[in-house]
Amino acid sequence: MTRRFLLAVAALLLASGGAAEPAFERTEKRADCTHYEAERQPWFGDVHVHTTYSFDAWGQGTRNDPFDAYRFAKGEPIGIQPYAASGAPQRSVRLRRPLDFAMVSDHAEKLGETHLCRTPGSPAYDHFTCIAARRWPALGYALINSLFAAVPPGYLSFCGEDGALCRAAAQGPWRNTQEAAEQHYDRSAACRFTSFVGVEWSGMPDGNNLHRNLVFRNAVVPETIPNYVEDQTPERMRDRLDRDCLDAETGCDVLAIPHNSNVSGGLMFAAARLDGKKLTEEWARQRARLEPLVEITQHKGDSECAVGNAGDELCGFETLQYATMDQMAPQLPRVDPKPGSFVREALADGLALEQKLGANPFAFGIIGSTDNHLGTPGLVNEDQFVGHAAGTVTARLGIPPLPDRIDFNPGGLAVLWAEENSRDALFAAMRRREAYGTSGPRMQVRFFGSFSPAADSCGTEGFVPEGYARGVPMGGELARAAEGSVAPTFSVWALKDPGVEARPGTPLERIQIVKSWAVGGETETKVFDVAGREEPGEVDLASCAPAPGGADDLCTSWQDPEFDPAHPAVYYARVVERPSCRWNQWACNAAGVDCKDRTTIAPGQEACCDPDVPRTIRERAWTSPIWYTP
Amino acid sequence: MSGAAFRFSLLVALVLLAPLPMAGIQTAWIPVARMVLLASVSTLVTLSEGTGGVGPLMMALFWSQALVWFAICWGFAWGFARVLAAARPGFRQRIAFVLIGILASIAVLDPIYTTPYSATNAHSTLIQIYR
Repeated sequence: MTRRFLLAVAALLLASGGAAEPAFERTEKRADCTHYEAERQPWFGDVHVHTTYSFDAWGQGTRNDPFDAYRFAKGEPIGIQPYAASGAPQRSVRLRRPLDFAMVSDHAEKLGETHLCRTPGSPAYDHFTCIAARRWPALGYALINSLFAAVPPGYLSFCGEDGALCRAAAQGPWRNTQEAAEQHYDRSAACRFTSFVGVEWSGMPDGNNLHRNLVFRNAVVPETIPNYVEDQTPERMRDRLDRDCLDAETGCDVLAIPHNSNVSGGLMFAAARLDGKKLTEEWARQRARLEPLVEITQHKGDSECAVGNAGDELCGFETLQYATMDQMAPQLPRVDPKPGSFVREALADGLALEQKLGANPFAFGIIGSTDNHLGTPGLVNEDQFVGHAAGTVTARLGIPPLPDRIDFNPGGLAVLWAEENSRDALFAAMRRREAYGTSGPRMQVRFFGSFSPAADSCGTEGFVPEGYARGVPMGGELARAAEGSVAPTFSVWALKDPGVEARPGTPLERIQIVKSWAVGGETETKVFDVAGREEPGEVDLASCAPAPGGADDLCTSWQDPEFDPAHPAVYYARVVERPSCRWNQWACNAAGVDCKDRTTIAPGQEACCDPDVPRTIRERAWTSPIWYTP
Repeated sequence: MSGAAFRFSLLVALVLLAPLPMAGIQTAWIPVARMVLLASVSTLVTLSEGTGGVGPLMMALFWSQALVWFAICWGFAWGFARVLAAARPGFRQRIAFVLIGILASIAVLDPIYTTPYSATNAHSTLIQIYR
């Protein structure tokens, strides 16, 4: 009996990370964090931010560099375009609450070209393409940025036949990116802020978005970075990460986070390789190993599910109604999003592929981020939206009547459950997928799955230790069900975003669990309301007070009523806030638009009163899934 | 001033000065000469960097609009010259000076052009768009 008790205690300590030894490997020389918490804490951040080093951000008038971006993430105000002739910014922005972590992820492609075109005296500064980009920026932006979609992609003409000039020029911004991350990383015991060295691989064949953000674990990074010109398929990019980083025995560690599958033309989660080769177990394992997370939401729309999926009325959230990135240009014909474009169906398809290949290529967790091109990570509040500076609406020459195109949004946040706010701890959280994404609010969500749950511990101190000890957290895999065992139980506890005094957070409306399962190669999905409920009541559009009702926290334990131990399944939780004003309503109110008085509607503000434009949203969080494999 | 000279002067003035709408990434109101400039930029960048992006589309869009507006300007100048065909040369000259003078003065003094492709101004004067 005593032995069994000691074993149970040991197992509990092991599962909870123990008290003395961290549950992650330390690869850095740094002070221990005083706030270390074995049962983990939620850290809020943004790992998708562009600065003036990205061609598209520079072309839209962004002057902030990675150093500015990290200053902003830590809570300092920074200026943004438009700029006066004197160089003074005409607008200033500041986060209401600093971020815990951030990563600048400038485009690897045209990093050198942008540097050469921006730098007087560089060998390419007086090349006509650079002059066009500087002298006619909107035109230069369209002409040059669209070359991202070229097949095959190439360096700009002034880079030389093999691109040597631009590859060499990219070293400067790449070193600065590393230096900025290092300068702003808090290596003291206070561990106030973590910055990651990162970059974006921006493959976009024929306008189909296949972009991935590359997150490096620590300061050990490859000398040169993968880019779409050199590595033209995700497979080649991943091979390069293995070769130049993970297998290089330098201490380098990296993962890739796909985003905007919604405009991938179905290629992001297609059951096919871009290079035409056969799918193999090795391919699936490499993809799952290197891509443990996806960015489910960001300013260019939501990628959770297609409108109408599984009869889910909440799928029509910030959904773009076109299939590829280049269809964002209103001049081009559009088609509806294609299969293979959404996270939910990929999670389900992964189960079927695992049965076929022996490994699940789509065993990924979930985060959100902004993809902000202003150098302003985490600027996600609807009422603070100033546009994202990488599309057809620019603030380069003046403040636009509405900050952005009506189909875009401020983007979301990544939340990581980690013991402390350090690179190693956060990176380990990403790798084990103990992460979730939000559409902006900072709600806290715990999600555990277990075949042997404790008696209902919702709202008690036992919730978290029991969750770790008896099961797995979000991102985990439930061990095979024992013969005759009951269905798994999923426990979710969500706390609303407290907000700040001047702008409190919105109460929670409900928690849902989305289940997908595979039967004989076919997949099905069902959405269960497990806590809270949809309530009547509307947003006060004039004041933007959220819809009444809702809860400060919701907690439940839910046992799958349709569980079949023979079929693999995947479960994730979705936490939904009460309706609140969308960014356009805030902007229209601020501009004094009164739809009953047409004289108050300035040119460019017509969307304020368009009945087809949503004025409210239900902000939300999506947890990483928990998998069950028979 | 002969009828042909009047027509030519008016055509040149319209091509250089008249703000006309041009659809593209954003709608501009610019003279035909500026449209030709933007079309030329698109052409040169496309020739330099290849046809992989929207270069061919922008070229076609800008050149076609420049040509259509040039034809309309020519038609307007031709029609106006026909109306004044019977007038004395001195009267035609005065009309030409007054029309071109008024248009040029407004264009120099007021930012009557909408210039989303500019590096510096969303609305520009004549001097700013040709600087």
